[in-house]
Amino acid sequence: MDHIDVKNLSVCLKNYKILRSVSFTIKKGECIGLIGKNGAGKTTLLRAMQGLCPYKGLSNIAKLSYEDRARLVAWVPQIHDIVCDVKVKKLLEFTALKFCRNAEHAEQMILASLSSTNTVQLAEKNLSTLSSGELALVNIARALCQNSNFILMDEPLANLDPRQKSTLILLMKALADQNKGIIFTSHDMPAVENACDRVIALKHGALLFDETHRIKFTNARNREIFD
Amino acid sequence: MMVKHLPLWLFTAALIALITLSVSLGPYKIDWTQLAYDVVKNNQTIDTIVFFELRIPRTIMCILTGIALGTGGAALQTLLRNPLAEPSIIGISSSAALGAVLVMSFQLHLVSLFFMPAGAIIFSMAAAGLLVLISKTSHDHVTILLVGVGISLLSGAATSFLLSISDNPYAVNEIVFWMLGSLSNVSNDDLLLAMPFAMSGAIIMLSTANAQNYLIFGGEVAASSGINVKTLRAKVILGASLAVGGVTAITGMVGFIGLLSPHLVRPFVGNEPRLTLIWSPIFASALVLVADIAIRLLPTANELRLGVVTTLIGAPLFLYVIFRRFGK
Repeated sequence: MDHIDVKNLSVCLKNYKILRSVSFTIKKGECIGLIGKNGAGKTTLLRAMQGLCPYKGLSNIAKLSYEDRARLVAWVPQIHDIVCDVKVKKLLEFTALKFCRNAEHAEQMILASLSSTNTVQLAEKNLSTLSSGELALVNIARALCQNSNFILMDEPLANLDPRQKSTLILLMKALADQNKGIIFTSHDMPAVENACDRVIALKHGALLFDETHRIKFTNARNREIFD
Repeated sequence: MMVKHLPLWLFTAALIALITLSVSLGPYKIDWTQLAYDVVKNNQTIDTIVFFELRIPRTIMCILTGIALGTGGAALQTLLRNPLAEPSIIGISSSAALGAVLVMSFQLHLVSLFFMPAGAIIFSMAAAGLLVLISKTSHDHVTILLVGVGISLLSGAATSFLLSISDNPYAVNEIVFWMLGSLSNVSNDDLLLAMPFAMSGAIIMLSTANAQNYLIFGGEVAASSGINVKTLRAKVILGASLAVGGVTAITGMVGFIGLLSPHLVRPFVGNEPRLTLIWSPIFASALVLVADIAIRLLPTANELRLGVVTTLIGAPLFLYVIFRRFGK
């Protein structure tokens, strides 16, 4: 499968419509910014299209088996807490060994993920000793170990310092160049301007616009999105 | 593996030593050469009866209790994302006890002994099911723990209610003593009753060991790493209620073992959930054996109750572990 197809996706929670009939297609090689004000339904959209919450409508990846979907799509939610305080390298190993051909391939994959997220120095640290920004990057490194065609990320730029931000933006561009499909939510407009060749905006749970080219966030445009 | 987890293998050796100690300790002193001779000749003597009807079932029941509580504690702590989760704190044990007390107060255990584990398991599954339902809608640890405490209090109150309306003081006495937890009168029949439930429950929980490693960042990340989290959850709950219900029906409430043993294992396995689940039953079995051996060695007028001793040993040890881990 080389595209994610979402048609008329809606999510209702206690009679309140969080998402209203959203449709779009993501192709491999795209780097998409998903924007909108708080509560616009960005995270819900990413979760619903993977079938992680109850939804109405169609999404071609929601009904796949867990195994098949994991090979196609990796999901990077925001991490609030850690259950077991393992070493960073261990965490990546669990994922890499599952998705790689053999131990050697897994080892390469772990190293590549750590270096592309600039977290090699964290490999032997325990998760509980990391800052929230470091934890976010490690979570992305974990998703990279899945070696999937698509990566979905929820606010990956939150909690990052400027240096980490530019690392991640470069990484997302590089992944798109390697023909992976990236979609991430963000409130960081300069970063979206810089990284994305396509921008999808949500307002009150509905699609506001879907621009398939780089866009500039002018005052008028910001008002349109955030007012 | 052998060298990698050396402390754990040493511990396994200690467990074997404890088992040997457990079968040889008791008021009656077994003459081992006589016993070997009698076994070979197939004679029924006091030695063989004490060994095969008292010591062996008691020792195996210790191990079984450890296996059930150890796997239950480790699996639930990872699944519910809570280091305080264990069968007795989140209400599975106390619900099992309620089920067994219901059976006893209606005298159903005199009809068939099978009613005891059946009652215990039905109630522990109901409690576990309720917890899963809550953990599905809420991602908050505290909520799940509070619901567990609520279930625990409710089944405790229901048990007290049953005891207070009972008009048979002898039955009340029997039930109260049973609830304190004991392995002193375990027979081979009891063992056969608890074994299938405890072992199948433990095996179901152990079958989730690999999948548990993906729960480190929570259920959603596990699901997107290819783990069927709903099945995983169902297996842990089913396994924990089968295992804990099965042994609780025989031993009564044995507290703190399930809570403590995963915490003792984690430093040795780098906190890895899979290895914690695999080694926790071994640590737990050793803990139960130590408590049961202590009971037999202590010069008290009446034998102390196992549940009392595990809590007396377990609670301070648990506080120590918590202070060392979080109290920096």
